Amino acid sequence: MKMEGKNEDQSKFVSIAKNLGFQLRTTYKIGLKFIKEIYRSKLFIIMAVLLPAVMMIFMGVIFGGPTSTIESYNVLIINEDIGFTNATTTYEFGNLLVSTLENLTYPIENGEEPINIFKVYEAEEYNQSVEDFLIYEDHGLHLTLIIPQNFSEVIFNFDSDVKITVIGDPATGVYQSAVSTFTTVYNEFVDAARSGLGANTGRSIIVEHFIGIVGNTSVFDLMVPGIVIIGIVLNIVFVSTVITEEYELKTLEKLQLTPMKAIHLIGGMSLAQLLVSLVQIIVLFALAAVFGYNTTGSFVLGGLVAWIMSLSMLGIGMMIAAFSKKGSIASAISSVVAIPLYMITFFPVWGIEQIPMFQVNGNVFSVYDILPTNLATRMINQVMIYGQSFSDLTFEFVSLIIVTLIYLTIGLVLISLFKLRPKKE
Amino acid sequence: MTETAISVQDLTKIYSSNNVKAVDSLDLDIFKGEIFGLLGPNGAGKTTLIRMLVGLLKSTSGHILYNGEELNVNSSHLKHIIGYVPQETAFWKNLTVYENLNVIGTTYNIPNKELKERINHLLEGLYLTEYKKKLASKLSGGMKRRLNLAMGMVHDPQILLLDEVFVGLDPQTRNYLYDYLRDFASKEHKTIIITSHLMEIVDALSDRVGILDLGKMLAIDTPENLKNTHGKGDILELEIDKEFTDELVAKVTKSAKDLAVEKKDNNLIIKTLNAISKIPEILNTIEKEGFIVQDVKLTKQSLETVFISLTGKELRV
Repeated sequence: MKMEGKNEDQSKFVSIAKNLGFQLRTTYKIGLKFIKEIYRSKLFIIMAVLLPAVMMIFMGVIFGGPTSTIESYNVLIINEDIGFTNATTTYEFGNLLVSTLENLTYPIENGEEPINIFKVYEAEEYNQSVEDFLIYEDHGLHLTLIIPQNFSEVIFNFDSDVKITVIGDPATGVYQSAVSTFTTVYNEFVDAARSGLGANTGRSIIVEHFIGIVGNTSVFDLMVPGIVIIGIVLNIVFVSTVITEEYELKTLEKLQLTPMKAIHLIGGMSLAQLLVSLVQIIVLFALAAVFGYNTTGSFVLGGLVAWIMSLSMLGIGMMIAAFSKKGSIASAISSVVAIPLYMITFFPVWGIEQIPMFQVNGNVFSVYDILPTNLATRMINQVMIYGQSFSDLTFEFVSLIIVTLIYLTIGLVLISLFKLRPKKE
Repeated sequence: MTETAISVQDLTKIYSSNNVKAVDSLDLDIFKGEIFGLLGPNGAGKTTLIRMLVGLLKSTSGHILYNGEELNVNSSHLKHIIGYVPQETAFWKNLTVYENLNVIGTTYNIPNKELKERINHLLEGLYLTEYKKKLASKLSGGMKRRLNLAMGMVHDPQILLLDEVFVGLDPQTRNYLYDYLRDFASKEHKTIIITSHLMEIVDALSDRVGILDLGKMLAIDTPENLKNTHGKGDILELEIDKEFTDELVAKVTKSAKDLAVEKKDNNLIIKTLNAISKIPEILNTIEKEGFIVQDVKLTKQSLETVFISLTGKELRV
């Protein structure tokens, strides 16, 4: 009896394994079919690889290029120090720090003109218009310093830490070197000031506030994620056209007559889509790097975001195909649908603010994130420009996967309903 | 006893968009191992019927049974026994001949080795072996039709439904497709349903023929029985050397049994069953009256004449 039960279990297992093997083989073969068709389709190569590649090259030539050597760091200083009066003497260490920075020059060699290390701008208060003015007039603000009201007073209180606020964009190499130079100067300044007064037991502390897009992050750097995403968005046209042509040319009918299920078709298309988007991502990031893409982030993580998002494009392509009877119609609808998806990839460049939809543990899901291109572009920017890691973006990754699954599921259901069922007419 | 492969019961299809009844309460039995020819003009409902039989089109009412089992579009078992070759050639143009067949074959869960053998066998039978690595888009029209056929047969179906597969073929391709189907049906005991407007092929290929018009089956029988039952006979056209009168017409009419004779210019048009056997008597009568027959033209009765007899309409392509 026991032996019989064991044999039954074994044959059940063999049957399940065989069935699974069949499902995988069918999916793989369907995927291989799409890959071969894609590989042999000149239109696709032009649409999916050459077009975004040309766009990347074009943007790279216009907006890119290697970062030029910085002679002076552009520093905006908001000096709020009100000074400190001790007995009869008033000390204004804030002003002293400003003039120190203004007069600091690189070592002079062979009678050359002295070059200032910091090009100092002053403002009453820190606001966006001051920053914008400096960015556009002087081609990049590298650092903003806020000297607090009690700066002079704290220097006198030898046991207290002397704090100063630095605002800048950590993703830029210039910010890092500017902060590093300033830190040296600042430490020496505080040491000298306190030593002159008699003692130095406290610390000099720099409080950093990271802000968005300033410094030497070029327009091209901001555009790269968008261009990669656009390349993948173009796949909507391809996916919808391929499925609709399968319908139009009756090859879908041929598959419909076989034991193939919708899931095999979608699985096969997903395989093809993943391979194609992987090629796109590699080619586009490689081109970006050639044209001086300035990033501190992980290409692998950035690419992974784009890769996951590419499956949502498959879902959207299927949705369009479900309602299209001709390839030309699918292509036209796809182009219309792709426009908002394209546009949204440039929101960071245009500085358009995200509209929060909901929050989970302080992580914001924006209304625009419903469109996966927005979420993906935002994530790639966070990875590539701000150097964020997978753990920093767990919420976003979960959101992207959920959004992608929703698009894929809707696409699958619609294709099954409208293209893989017996027709009524 | 003859086993039924397909049983169609009270099948109706009404297209709601134009309220046309394409198939009207149709009852039909197709027997195992037979080649069944379905004739009818455009709009008769042939393609609608075939597409309902394979599950691509929903019927409005009625039943379709395969070996007694109700057609279910999700039944993997039924999909294995049914093969369909549509009127339009349908294949992946950027795949080779072999790859096209391989994709279809894989979906039927045929093991790789067996699939390879089956594809090679089909390619050989349809004279496509030397083109197996050629992209489907680069094939000639005849080759495309053969590939189309192979794609419907790669899973070795028991029942094959062919919709106008002879259209657009050159005579050579048509002949070996004809031979191939004949062998396929007889040697492997397969059931074939074939629709065509090519009378002579359906006539020669089919064990039984059904004539469909306006969604109704007007007659079903063997080609011979249909011709004998519904045909008006052969047409014999005789060109006479000189002017003749109605007197000759009357004499010729009486020269053999069941002759219908008409005068048309210098020709005698004679309609009768089995005209060949009556030709000597007719010619003797004409010569006795002092006339010489300069030319003889015999048009055998055909399924087309049967169709005209049944419907009063010419067969249209």
